Amino acid sequence: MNHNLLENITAVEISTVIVEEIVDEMFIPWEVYQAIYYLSRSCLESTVDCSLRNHYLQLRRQLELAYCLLLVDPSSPLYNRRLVTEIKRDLPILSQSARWETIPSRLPEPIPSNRHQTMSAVNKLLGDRSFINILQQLHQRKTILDRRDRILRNSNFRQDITGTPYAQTSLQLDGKIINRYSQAILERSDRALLLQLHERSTATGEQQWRGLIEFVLSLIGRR
Amino acid sequence: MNERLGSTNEILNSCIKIESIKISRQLAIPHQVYFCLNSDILDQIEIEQSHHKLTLSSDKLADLRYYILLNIPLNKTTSSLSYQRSPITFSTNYLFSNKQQPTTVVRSVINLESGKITQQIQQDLWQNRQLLSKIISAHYWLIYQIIEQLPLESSKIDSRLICACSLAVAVTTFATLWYFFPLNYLATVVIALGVFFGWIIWNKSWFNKQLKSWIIHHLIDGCLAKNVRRRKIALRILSFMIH
Repeated sequence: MNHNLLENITAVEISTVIVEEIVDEMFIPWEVYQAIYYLSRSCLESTVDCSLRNHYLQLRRQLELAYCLLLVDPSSPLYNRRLVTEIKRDLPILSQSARWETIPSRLPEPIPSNRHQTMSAVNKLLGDRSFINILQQLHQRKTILDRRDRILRNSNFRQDITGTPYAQTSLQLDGKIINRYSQAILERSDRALLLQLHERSTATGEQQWRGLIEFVLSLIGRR
Repeated sequence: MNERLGSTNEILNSCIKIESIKISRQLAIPHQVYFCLNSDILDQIEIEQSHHKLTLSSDKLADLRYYILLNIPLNKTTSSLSYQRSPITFSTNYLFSNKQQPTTVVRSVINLESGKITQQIQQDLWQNRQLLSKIISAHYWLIYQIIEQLPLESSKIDSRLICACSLAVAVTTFATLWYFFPLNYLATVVIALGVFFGWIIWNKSWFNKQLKSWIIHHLIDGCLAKNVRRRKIALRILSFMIH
């Protein structure tokens, strides 16, 4: 058995979040896919705050880029040899944040507009583990953007920190430690307590991670 | 004194629950770990925290190891598994004195695939600072007690026993060959060396690796996953094999 465990992990990221209610997270890939797929400049104009529009569009670009990278990756089940040259030509444009919208989308439509088309292309895409991982990350970023949009449009939410991580610590392989804090905690009177809570989360999170890795190593006998 | 410790240990073991979901008629797999706490258990944990360690029962430990093993991103692709891997989740459900149903107040979600850990705290608990500190301490302490006991430990006696048994098999094989086939001096030396090196290879690498691989594979999604007894045996064999 080959072990590709931790192959793609370059940092351990510990977040602390206060939530209204702790519920089992529902992640329905198709629902998230269609929400990001249909993001466009025209639809965002009427629905989100103007300062966030580009951030939303980045999600759509990253979805397109992730798909194209899988299409040209020979080890991916989505690899398509016929499209390699074409995609390699488009990749520099897709990796820029400005002109990418001029390229026609290669992503399959969430609901095929043509009645002769089936859902098989979408289902195949949503069955791919690598794509789902990217979709999950984009979903998390979209949740944060949605929340920021709510705050920008309603001043009552300005000090509200519930629902999204208020503090995040990233412990990187190269030894760097990056702390990120939500702007909202700066204005709160209980910020010292919040930071103390996050400090504790980080210390125990690191301990939890190390413990689990030790278990994995004991299983594969490389301790 | 020992009796009191034993009963506290039993109570704390019983407050650790593993929620399972049925993925087929025969097979239910663990889905998340949760701790059922109330004010009495919190007080007991507070006392235990500073003086003692929690000893998990062997059934509970086997179940917990199995739960983590299922969610380790090993090479096997998810599409070939009969279940979907998920982040490792530890929740604390607390029964408030004024409520009839426990509420999930803290949750730690550890994603081994992405390296992301999220600690969630329920808003009502955040408002109750005294209880917050107690519950958070208990939650992290219980996770630590579990995680500390997860790694498979091979006792030196077990490893030596395995080693001695395989050596005995090698010696018997050689003695049988020698007894039944009249061999000259050179052939005897060659066969003795062959059996000796065969034993080293068998014991140390190839066989060990293959057997370990087979056990992990069947523990994740095969014949060894069917019930706690089988899982316990498989995990015991795995710990024998760690030299």
